[in-house]
Amino acid sequence: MIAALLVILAATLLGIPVAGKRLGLAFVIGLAACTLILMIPIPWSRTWLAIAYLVLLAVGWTMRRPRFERPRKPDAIVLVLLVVGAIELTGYILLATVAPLWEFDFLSDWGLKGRVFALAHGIDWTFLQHATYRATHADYPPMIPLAFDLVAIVNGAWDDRAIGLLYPAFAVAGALIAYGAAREEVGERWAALIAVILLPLCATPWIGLADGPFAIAVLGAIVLIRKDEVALGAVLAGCAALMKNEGFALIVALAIAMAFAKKKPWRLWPAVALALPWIVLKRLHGIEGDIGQGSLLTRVFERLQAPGEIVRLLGTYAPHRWLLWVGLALALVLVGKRERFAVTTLALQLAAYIAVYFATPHDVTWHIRWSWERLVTHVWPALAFVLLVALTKDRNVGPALSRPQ
Amino acid sequence: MKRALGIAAVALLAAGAFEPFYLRMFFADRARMNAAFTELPYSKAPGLRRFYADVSQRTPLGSRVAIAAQWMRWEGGYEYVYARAMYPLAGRDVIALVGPDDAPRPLGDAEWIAGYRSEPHVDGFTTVWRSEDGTLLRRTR
Repeated sequence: MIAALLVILAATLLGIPVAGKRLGLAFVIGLAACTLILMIPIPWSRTWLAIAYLVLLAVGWTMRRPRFERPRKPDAIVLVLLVVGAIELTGYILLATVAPLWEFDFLSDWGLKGRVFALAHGIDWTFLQHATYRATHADYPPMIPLAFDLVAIVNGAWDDRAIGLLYPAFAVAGALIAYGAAREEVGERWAALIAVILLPLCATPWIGLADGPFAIAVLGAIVLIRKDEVALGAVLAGCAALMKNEGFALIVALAIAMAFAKKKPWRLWPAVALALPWIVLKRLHGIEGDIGQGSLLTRVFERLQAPGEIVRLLGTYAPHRWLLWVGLALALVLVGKRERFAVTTLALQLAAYIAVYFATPHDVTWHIRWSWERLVTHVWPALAFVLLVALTKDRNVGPALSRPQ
Repeated sequence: MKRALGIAAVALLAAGAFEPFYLRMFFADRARMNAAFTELPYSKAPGLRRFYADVSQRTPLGSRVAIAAQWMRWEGGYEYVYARAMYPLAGRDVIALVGPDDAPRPLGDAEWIAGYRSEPHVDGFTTVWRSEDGTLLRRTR
């Protein structure tokens, strides 16, 4: 899978006729489709999975045929950038496969559920109903655990080292989406540079958790809806909601930003349609999250009276990547206004995360300490993408790398 | 001025996004990293990973396994031992003997007790296996 994606990335950057952005999107949507297949009662085997996927593929093909592009002559600068990206990606693959996945949240949440579902050959509702340990989060959407199960089905056995390969695949998908989308606006050299800059932001250090894949889905949704490809963008937002509860915040944030931008937010219905089955299923099985437990309003009002502590904690536990923060801040000042839709969506997304800290039934320090550093990274690829595109479209900066026609 | 700031922003974003750790992976001792990362989630309780691997081999899927430890206070070490039992013992019902409020919880219909660095004495259970990392007790009546 990794080899195939590397070949696709290389081929795309070298101008061989494959559709870069579409392939990155196809990876995320295809994976979501496979996990949805695993939610229906079919036998969990390679054969059945392949049959079901081929049926889905045939339906998808009749609805929307992929467009292929004419080959272009490879460009030397693009080639150099490709080598830089490939080196970084190889290092990431080495990390992702160095050991059985080691994150505590993998062992107590994402990986645990994947392994339990793999043993049960389906979503084990009894397990989820009795999963009272606070880190297991029975209410979280199932796409990532089921994606692990896909690897197990294809692999023939559960192997928590092989699962690590999903993460470089998501990073490549993110780079492909960024490259394809940027090329439409700023030309192939800048697009290649943007893809190489974004690659490490798509390569999450939290291997085995949902944050990296979620950030790629956010990137895809923003990139598409920003260019008014709302239906496909909404599907990506729906995929995000199948990965993490934060996906629901994304859908709401997109709807609000679209309303402000007069983009007809009801066109986001595919996102809601994708997110809805999990909400209904978990309700039917009596599975609830922990945020709403107890006297939620009392907690919110109490914390609103002294918000300084939460603000201080957000500063303390934010990722200490100062160059990136300064770069984002400077770019926002310079070109943020031109990307009002994307910036508004991502700001609302972060605001929703912060609102949850005011409502959490857990100790606020504990909650922020163990989540904020990861949550912030959800918006990085999308924010960096729109700002880099806006900067390179700027007539003051853009011409530096433009390829002569 | 604006041009310089724009180029500076692109450069800052490129430098800030760059992840040097992934480059260092080319020169890392992978065998050593593998050993360290494999033990990492269990590192505060030496032998715990090996203990659960042993318990998993000796208890069938679908069985109910209660977790005991030398520390029986939730935040005094028990949570650490209990939380790390669930993944290696996936497919079994893993039962906590202490709650977050430190109140003891009933054994219920547990069929096994896995005691990390401990050998609990419980009526109706007998020790069927022991190692330097702990003991495994089985219900006899």
